[in-house]
Amino acid sequence: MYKYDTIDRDFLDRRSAQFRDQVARRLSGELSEDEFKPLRLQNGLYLQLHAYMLRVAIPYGVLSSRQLRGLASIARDFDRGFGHFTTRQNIQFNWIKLVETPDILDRLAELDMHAIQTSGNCIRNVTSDPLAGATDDEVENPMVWCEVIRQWSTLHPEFAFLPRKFKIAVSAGAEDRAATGFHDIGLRLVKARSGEVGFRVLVGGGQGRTPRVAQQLTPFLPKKNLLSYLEAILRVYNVAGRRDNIYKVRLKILVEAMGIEAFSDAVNMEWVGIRDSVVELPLEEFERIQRHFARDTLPPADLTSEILEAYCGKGHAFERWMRHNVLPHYDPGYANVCISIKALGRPPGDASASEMERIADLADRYGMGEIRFTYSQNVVIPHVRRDQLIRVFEGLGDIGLNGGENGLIGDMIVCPGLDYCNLANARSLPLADRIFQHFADAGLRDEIGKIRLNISGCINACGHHHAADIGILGVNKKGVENYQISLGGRAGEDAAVGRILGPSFDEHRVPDAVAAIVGLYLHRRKPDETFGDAVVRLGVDVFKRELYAAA
Amino acid sequence: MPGILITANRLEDGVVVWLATDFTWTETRSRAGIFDADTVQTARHSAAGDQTNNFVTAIYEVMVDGKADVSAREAIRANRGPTIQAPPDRHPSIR
Repeated sequence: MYKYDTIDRDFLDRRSAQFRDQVARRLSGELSEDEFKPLRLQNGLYLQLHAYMLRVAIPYGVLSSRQLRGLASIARDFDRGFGHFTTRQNIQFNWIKLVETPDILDRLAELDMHAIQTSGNCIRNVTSDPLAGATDDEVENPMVWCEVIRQWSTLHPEFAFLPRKFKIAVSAGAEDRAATGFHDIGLRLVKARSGEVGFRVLVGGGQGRTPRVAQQLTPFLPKKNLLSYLEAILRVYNVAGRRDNIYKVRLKILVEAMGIEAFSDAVNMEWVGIRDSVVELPLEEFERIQRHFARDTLPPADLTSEILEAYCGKGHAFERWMRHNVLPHYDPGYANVCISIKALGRPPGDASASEMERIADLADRYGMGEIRFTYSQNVVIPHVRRDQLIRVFEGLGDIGLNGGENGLIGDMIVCPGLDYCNLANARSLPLADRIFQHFADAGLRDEIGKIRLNISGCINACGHHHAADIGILGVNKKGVENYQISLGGRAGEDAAVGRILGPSFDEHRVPDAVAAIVGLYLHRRKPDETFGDAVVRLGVDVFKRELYAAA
Repeated sequence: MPGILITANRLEDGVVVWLATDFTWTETRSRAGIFDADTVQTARHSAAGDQTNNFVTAIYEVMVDGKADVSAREAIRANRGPTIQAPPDRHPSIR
């Protein structure tokens, strides 16, 4: 992973000191709230329902065991002992005191971490594939390019006050595990017939109240031109984005209003002036960054029968975990372990300080001391020897995090909702638990198989309900929490926006509604047909009829 | 008694507070003042002064009917925390 040098550290120290001064001036009254708000947002600090919330950047979801332990200590020393993993691979703390924030930023700086650009109208923390650099289905390691984009976009003076927030994701796998189709810019590393690697560039994706799947801007961008091309897209957006209308301000609306061809023409006109100029990444700088991501030499792992013996001895729970949560690695003697931060009775994505410390210990002992946060609010320990998997399973069992839920109905993406959020209309977290309880039988969850059920507490769609097989959206119906259900969304290579089925349900009726939809799938599916594929084949209307007939 | 609550976040720590009848700020929802048409103007003036003096921020008003909080949002806010249990920060069984 990328290691900070003295330039990075000096930069963070200065940034932290700057915010300390800004907080002092706010508390003394020298700065008004209106003046201070954009400054705190540029440092990830929101004012939420109960208190200030601090969102800490985990660049492309990668962190070291030392950093995770540091986050645990921040949770314990400055918050209520837990944090919340977000879909943008970051972590949030919920009860932060403004007066203590400068101390937290200092603590983060000691860990080579910060909260810059996790909020505000700027280029946000770039996201990527949680298996980057640890899987054999990728064209090349996307983290190199994520780091290039991180350095390029951090405090980029031209893009510090964009019309609105701006999200970039990079993916290099055959399977898109970074939801690139739902980003302002989605970058997919692809190999041309000539063997040259470049980017397929998508633009104008996003969720919120106007969900759009990104469109292709160019099928192949040479790698050497990445920064000038990004710069050109951002410049067009910066000038033409609808700053006058909050509902039309995102890039997706601009792309749609202009049409992809006119938008492409505008980008190309801008690009022609900067292509191959000083804006591009110098080769030696690329090579410097690339060296940080050279593959570690993994000690040879033998494929002994220990794992199978353990498998036989451990029964169903271990078998489930192996099947769902142990993901392939480029070295057949190794695996990537997905830790489900979802289980009955726990809020999806929340982890306590002691759990974070335990995960850090396991990453040190059985991995390479590295941890990834995922788009689906889980955690991955990459590079685990297969013959050590049983020990990881047992270690996770000690903290109740050895559930094999990855990709199943219990593995819900869920926003904090009205339990924490100032914008939410309805609670998400208790509803997730209700649904989980309804599918409490692990055998049933296995039988249903791969399905994505996501919950957002409002139309801002932080819970990515648009991109779910079954999406649930919290609405306020005359002061009462209600939930709309949509079907047929997808986040991967063939990204699609789900379709709303009909009138909303109250929280008590949602689990039955989900059960009716899932029940129809189980009844009508073909052998090996996933829920998503069955919805495509049968059509959303079939499910709609079933749902409202049962209701 | 129907009326108006005035609520805000304390600037230095973000804690949710309500304006009490004596125009101090309380962290306890049950001690919040319920202001009527006669008293609300003075209460608003006092609250705005505390915002200017950088004691509170994000002031807003909530209509109440004298019984329970009307909206789920205000009930959760009055509860001073989420309605679900966060994972506990201790695991005595760790080997």
